[in-house]
Amino acid sequence: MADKLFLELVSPEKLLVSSDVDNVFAAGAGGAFGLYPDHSPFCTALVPCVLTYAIGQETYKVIVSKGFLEVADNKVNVLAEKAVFVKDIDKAKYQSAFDALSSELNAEISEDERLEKEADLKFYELALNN
Amino acid sequence: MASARDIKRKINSVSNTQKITKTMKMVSAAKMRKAIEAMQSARPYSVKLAELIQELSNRAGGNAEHAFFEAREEVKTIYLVVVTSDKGLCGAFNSNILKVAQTFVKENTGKTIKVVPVGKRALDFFAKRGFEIVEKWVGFGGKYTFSDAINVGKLLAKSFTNGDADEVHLIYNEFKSTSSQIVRSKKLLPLAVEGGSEPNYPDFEYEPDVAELLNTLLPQFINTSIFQSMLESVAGEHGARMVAMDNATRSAGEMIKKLVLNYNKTRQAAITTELLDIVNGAEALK
Repeated sequence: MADKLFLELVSPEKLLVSSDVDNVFAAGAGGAFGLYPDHSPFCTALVPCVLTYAIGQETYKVIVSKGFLEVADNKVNVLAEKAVFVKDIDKAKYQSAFDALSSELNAEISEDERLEKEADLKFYELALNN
Repeated sequence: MASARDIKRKINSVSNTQKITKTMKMVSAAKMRKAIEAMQSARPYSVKLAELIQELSNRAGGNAEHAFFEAREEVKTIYLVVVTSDKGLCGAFNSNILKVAQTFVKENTGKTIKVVPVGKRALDFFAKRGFEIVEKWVGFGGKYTFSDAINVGKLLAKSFTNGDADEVHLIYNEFKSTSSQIVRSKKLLPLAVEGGSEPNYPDFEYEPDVAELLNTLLPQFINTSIFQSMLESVAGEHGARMVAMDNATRSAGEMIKKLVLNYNKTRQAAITTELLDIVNGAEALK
């Protein structure tokens, strides 16, 4: 019985987390889920959400945009297109990105682009509200 | 022979140039450090992504079906993505890339080659030679973000799936060390799958299913490849510029040394002539 999960969270810009954790919570294509040690092998697409993980009594929050999560052998790999620690959020910067995106969404755009922009918007919205 | 004053002026101008090249070298060194950092932090993502794709295609039994895997029987149009820098003064960095690109074009005569330049140097080069430019990405000044790579990737994926492009090739400089960059040329699309090996975890649970996951993963893989090549190229550019500027500073130093020697000689010659004039004048008065 393992009592820890090894979590690695990477975005194209950097490696955010690489450590032993007690649990991980996130939301995937099929809804929100929690991972504890000895979880069965599982792979899902992530939707923009707040990913939380705990080390002892401390919990940490990371905002992730769409990406992928894979669990096997007590290793959790998270690949996120964008990811930021809640404590590192620069509100002003995210607010302006949020505003820019919302105005873009009001304009005429194709369906694919709309889906993509809406996902980005969700990411910024989460970042601002946490 | 140039007068002492002319030589002095020349020495001043060369030492000014030397100051500039020295500063450029230091700036490049600082920028390179940052670029290398960015490159290294992007690496885990692309490694993990490649692993995941491998796992999934193993899962699908090596015959995963996706538009990106389909090789065309007849290749008519090739999209060529060429990653260069925006600015010059970095030695053979850009000309190496463009040489390889040109060889590639020669090897593929008879096919239509359309160019997607990333960086101003590539744009200038191909525009001048009358190639069709699909879309250009210039003026980033070496500050690429992942969304830039996504934009390039989207264009390529779209052109490939709707049949505008039968193949997509990518040419870029890979950063090996400060003083050496290797030109890499690789086929981006169609994707080559190695595979058929057994999945590592047979009882994997997927959400949504494998095919749908691959659908979102594969475009991401293209984007990451492009992002990686952009970052490698930026780090390489600064490395190359650092070396070029170091060489320039050194040769300016040598030039100054020669000029100073020359200056002293001319100065001494002038003094001797003046002395002779005075002595001769005094002799004549006797």
